[in-house]
Amino acid sequence: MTLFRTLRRWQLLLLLASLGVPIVLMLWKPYVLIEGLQRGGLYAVIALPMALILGVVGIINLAHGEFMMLGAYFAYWMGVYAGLDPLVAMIPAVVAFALLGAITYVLTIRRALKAPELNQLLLTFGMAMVGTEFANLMWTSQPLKPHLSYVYSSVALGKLRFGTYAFIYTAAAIVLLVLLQLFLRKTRLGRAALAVGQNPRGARLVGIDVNRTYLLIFSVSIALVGALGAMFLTRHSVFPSAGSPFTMKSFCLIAMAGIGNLPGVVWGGFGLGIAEALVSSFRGYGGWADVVFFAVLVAVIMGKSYRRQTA
Amino acid sequence: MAVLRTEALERRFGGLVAVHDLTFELAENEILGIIGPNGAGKTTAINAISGLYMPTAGRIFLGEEDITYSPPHVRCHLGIGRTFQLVHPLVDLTARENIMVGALFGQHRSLRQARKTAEEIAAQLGLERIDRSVSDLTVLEIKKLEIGRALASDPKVLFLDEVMAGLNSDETKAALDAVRGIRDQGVAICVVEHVMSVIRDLTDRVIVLDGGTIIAEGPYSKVSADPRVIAAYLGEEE
Amino acid sequence: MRMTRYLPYVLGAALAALFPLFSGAYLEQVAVGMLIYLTLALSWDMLLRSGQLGFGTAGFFGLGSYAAILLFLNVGVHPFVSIAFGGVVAGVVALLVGLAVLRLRGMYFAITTLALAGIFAVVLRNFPGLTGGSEGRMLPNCIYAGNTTKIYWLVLALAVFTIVISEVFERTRIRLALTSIRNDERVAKSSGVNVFKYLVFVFAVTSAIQGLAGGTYAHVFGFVSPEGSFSANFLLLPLAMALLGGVHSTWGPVVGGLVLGALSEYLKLQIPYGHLLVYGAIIVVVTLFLPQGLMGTVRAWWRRSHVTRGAQ
Repeated sequence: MTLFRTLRRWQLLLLLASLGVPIVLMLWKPYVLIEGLQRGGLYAVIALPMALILGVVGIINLAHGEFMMLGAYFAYWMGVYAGLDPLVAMIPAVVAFALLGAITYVLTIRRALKAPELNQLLLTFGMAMVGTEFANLMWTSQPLKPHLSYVYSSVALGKLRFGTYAFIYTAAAIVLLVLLQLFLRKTRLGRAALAVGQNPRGARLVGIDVNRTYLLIFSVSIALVGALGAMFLTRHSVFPSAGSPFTMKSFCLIAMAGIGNLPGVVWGGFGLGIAEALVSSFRGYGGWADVVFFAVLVAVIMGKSYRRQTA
Repeated sequence: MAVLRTEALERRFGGLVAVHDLTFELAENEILGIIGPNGAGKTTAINAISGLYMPTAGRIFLGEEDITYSPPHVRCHLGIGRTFQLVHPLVDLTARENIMVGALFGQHRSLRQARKTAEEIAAQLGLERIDRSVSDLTVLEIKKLEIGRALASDPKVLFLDEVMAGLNSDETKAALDAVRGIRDQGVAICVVEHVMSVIRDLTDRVIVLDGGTIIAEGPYSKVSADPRVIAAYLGEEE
Repeated sequence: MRMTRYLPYVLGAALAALFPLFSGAYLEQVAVGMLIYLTLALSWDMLLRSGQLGFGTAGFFGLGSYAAILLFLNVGVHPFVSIAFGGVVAGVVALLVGLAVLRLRGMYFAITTLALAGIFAVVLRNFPGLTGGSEGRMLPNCIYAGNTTKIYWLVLALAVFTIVISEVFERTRIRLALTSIRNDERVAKSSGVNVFKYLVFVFAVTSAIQGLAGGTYAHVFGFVSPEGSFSANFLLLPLAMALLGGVHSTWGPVVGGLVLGALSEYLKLQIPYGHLLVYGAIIVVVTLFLPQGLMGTVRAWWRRSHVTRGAQ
């Protein structure tokens, strides 16, 4: 009973924080709020496919960020050779990465589904390394970035002047969340995927093709993250190790939200983005922004183990 | 004087109450049976007493000592031994080493002493192929192995969770003799069992769980005639 | 009887110690790199024997490098003291991290340790006055003034030390504790194993060894930098070595280290920019198709042929 009450108090606190912090920030440091929402949108939208794979297939994909990195390279070379804008290159990227995801699933993931969790982690870690080193071999460690004028669009509100383009990540996070929720709740396929994620044996008993569901969800997720790599490229440079921080931050968000909680991933993403922007905003402490996610991760783990002990 | 005593023990999982108001005693040299239909809370009760789950309310005493919130390894040091419902041998160790784990960590013995203890216990239980890998053992041998591992930590109280399941009648007889032998060494034993003939032949006293709490208690002959028990359990399928 | 049992070890040690007599400076340098990675591979495996997958080798390696070099430059102690200090710092930090993170298992532990290298690098970069920031720090002179034979012996001593620790783990109660935790944690707890204590202990000891390796490496090459000292190579190569050789034993990672160490030199010459790709591929292929590694497969094959022959 007490546990139930504390949980409620937690939730209330969270609600207050998620309303109060933006208001305080808007008055105190409006740039932090803007940049936080933009940055956080990027974290959130990249974490969503990873959360989908973990929730349905039950595998933590340590090569997640590397798929994004490869997607960014794909878009870059599409720009060079076919003259495609990265945002347009998202369309061929979806096709190419759906295929890449399917091949990866059939050749590796499928064989490791029944293996111990440690082997799955090792496998996807090895895949991440293959991805990074492949990029290194093909394109060297030189950062690459296309020149796009539209990303510098900005707007002025009174004295406040800020870049608007990066809100594309914020919008993408919300749109992808809504689409995924609709897919999982309203479509037959999505509901089957949810059932498989919760109980693969039960799902098999009621006639769902579990293996095909895994294949589908894995390919779709990789297709999404490949396309998001193209979107990432519009604002950031790509280099072989550009993806690995996103694996880490995505996992941090999923751990924070709890497995299967997609809206939580997005809220967590915004929270992390704002926290990082806040740390960067103090002059001389900008370099510390990269450790914020780690502090969050350790705090989440401590919180979870504490709750596990008392529950 | 009771070896083990629980007072109004309760264990919840979220809103689900798996065990509640569980109060019982285990006397010295007693073999107590715990029976009840599936989902009655038998294994949860053992897990709460051996410390794998912390109780959400109530108290547990081992002799005079309050062990309600002690971690599981400490409870083992103090004298609670157990086996697991489905067999859980340590597959990368030999049979001997499996038993040695109990002797090494349950009571802080040296490797040499532990090796000797393992041999003695194996001999007592009739476990012969002691240096074989676990994958070569029969089901009966694995069950003996698990009892041996629990025994090697010198328990005052031993919980046996469905050790007879999956054994044929000859094997069951051998296992029954082994359990009686352990009792004769002065260990109080608590058996959870689905096989009624085992409970009838082995136990001095039985408690019946249903819905997480005790609905009847007494010798098997008395309990098995209790209409509430028949309604809850014996009428179910047995 | 006793003598013949130890004969292979004595011979191996003698051969390793006398290696400089019949090799040139180039082979000595190759051997130095190989032995450093072998040390990391073995220490990684020692933690894996408890069922915990740690990705922190590069992190603790780099931390040890920095601790050793900074103490050496700022206090002016003997290089050996500074290397030992690197081990102590890595061990203490691992202890603190472990106390927090080892309360959860599996992916939480694995990914938190994977993040460590990046975290340590960021923290060190943010104290430029002490650590030289992104530039790092250089030593005026490498240890032994760059004498490769002496350096080889130093690194050999580190590898032998790690092998001895690993064998201590294998021949004492520690092995039974770690194996029981890996096989079934609930059984281990119920049999009286203080699981948390053992895990924190093993994590701290193996991280300290990685710190020692880092301190040694930094003295050999004479510099530390966030990019170089925390390079993912110090995670990738040891994992590939231990997995290829076979996990959960002393000799698997050692054999894997020798095989891959030799192979890596060849690959470096053949494909200078992408040889690391091969290690990633080895991890993937071994995890999928050869989970026992070379030693495990040989052992299983030997055991099978032995048993069938015995049965006939």
